[in-house]
Amino acid sequence: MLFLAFRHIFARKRQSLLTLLGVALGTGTFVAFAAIMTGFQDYIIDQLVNNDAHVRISAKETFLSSATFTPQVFPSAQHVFWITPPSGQKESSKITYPLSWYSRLEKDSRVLAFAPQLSSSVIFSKSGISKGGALRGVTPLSQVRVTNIEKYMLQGRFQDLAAAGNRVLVGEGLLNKMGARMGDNLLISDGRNAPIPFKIIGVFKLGIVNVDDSTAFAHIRDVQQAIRRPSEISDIAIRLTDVEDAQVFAAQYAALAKEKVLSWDQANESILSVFSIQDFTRSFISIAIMVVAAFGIYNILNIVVNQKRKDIGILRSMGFDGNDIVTLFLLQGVVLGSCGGTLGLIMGFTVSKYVGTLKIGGMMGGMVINYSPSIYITGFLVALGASIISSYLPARSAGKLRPIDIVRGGE
Amino acid sequence: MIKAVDLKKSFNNPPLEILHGLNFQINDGSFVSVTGRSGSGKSTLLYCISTLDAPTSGQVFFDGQELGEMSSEDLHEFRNQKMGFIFQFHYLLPELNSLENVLMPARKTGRHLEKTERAKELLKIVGLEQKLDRLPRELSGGEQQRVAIARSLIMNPKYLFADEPTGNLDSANGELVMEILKSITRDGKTSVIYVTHDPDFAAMADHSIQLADGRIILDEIRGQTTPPR
Ligand SMILES: Nc1ncnc2c1ncn2[C@@H]1O[C@H](COP(=O)(O)OP(=O)(O)O)[C@@H](O)[C@H]1O
Ligand SMILES: [Mg+2]
Repeated sequence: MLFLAFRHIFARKRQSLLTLLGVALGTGTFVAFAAIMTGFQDYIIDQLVNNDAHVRISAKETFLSSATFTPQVFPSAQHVFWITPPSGQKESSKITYPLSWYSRLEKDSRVLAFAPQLSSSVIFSKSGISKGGALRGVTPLSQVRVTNIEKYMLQGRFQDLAAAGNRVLVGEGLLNKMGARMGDNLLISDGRNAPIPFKIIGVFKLGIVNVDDSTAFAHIRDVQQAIRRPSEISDIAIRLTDVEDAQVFAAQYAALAKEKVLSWDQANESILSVFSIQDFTRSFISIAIMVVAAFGIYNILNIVVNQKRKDIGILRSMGFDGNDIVTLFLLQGVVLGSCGGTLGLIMGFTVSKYVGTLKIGGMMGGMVINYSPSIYITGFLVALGASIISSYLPARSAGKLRPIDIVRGGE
Repeated sequence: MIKAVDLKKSFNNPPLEILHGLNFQINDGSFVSVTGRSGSGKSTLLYCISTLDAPTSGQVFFDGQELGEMSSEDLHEFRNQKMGFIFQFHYLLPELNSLENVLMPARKTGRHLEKTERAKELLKIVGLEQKLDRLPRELSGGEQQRVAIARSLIMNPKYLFADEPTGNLDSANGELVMEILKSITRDGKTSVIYVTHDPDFAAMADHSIQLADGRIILDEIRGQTTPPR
């Protein structure tokens, strides 16, 4: 029957070609979309996972309210009414006993490395230009073991920070916005203390605009001095041997400690939820295109089955049975579906390859494309599945035709 | 040998009995004409005895085997191996050339390669050895019908059914086709049962069955006459 199926397909070249293109377009779109979008997502996730911490322990901001004070100031009173209820935030958020954290983390075998940090929002200024941003005080040698920041240095090296002495690494965006160059001094102030000059000794670019436009790294001791919080830390960034452990790890420690312990995915929940919306949209578009292509196959085969009623009668009179007839038309759908699918995979590959050479957004060296086989397998299976389903109905109705009805129909 | 016993056929729409209990017997190697007015039930009879349609009641036996008792699978195989059909219209599969059309029944059992020589031989017998690779649309009506005859013979069937095989042909081509059909029965084993309107072609038969309003009014084997029952 395959022989005759092919003959049928070739006998109506234009229709077949159109159907083929429909399926190819659907599959191609699916593959290209998936390759580009998941490539991008994987890239971002990689950034999130590797450029920040797998798990971050940070001080809780404690807000003040009447409840904070009432029991302490009026321990025995039944009802206390404040004329002006107390409000505000505790002066600084810091991790209270960092040393106990260090010893716990050192004992935990899941921890690959950890790095204490002191972050503060600051104002950068230089010759009349000011800009708010974040200053991260780090211990450079542990920091490079926790994150991949080193990979993203445009100028200078991250370890250059190791020797303290009021030196900073700034994001490329921040550098440009401040109109600064390597070697310039940047005045940094937390708003409460006098600005202190820091020398720019390096530039990085993570490709995440938020970070690149507003972040500077300095040695933790310099930061502690600049904002007058000697020996305090606000965060501990942790890298695990296996990033898959992050959720469990974070949950365990969060239950024990009064600090906030967040795994990378909790910290980036909003981005990840955008991704799941993207995934949904993408599947939706691809499915819509596939449905259109499947309808094409369905329509054409329905018409063909009708046109071929006599041929079916002839075949039945030769002893071909209903199943042979079903096979004849099902095969046409399958052939069109799998050829269209294959063509679509090639189209999708070509498009994503091309997009891979484009420099969009802040990525280094062009868009990141996901070439994983699972996309191609899924794309092909969806195309094949859609064409089987859409050709099955016409094929079945053809198989049900009784030879006598068809043979007589011509008289 | 084909034997029909009290063969009846009615249609539901409109509800009408078309064949009113026919009895007859066709011997192997006969050249059988079925004649009668238009609407008298000739085609209906042909399809009922040839497994393409099922009679409403009554039995058809092929060499003692009753059709109604055969499984669908056996029926298809029987049709493929033992029967050939020739229709008045639309003889061939339009996508296939003459040779491929002739070989199509052999494809059912995957024997088209071993049958290729036989197919060429048959096409030579019907005078088309020059046109093996022509598509049906490149052939005249008579040539198409001859390809259809070659196709119906490829499996060496024991029974050949032809519903007005010459109905669409000019007289020269019609005669040619009838000569070929007649020659098939010369082996004494193959029977050809054909419906025709042409008195000359009907006269070629050695067994004539004549229908009127769904009843047999003449059943005559050359040399002997059986009265209609
Ligand atoms: N499928 C059918 N449904 C109802 N009536 C039918 C059907 N097929 C044939 N008939 C009727 O049966 C009668 C015999 O038809 P047919 O066998 O084709 O006659 P013939 O071949 O002798 O011209 C006609 O009256 C025709 O209208
Ligand atoms: Mg008729």
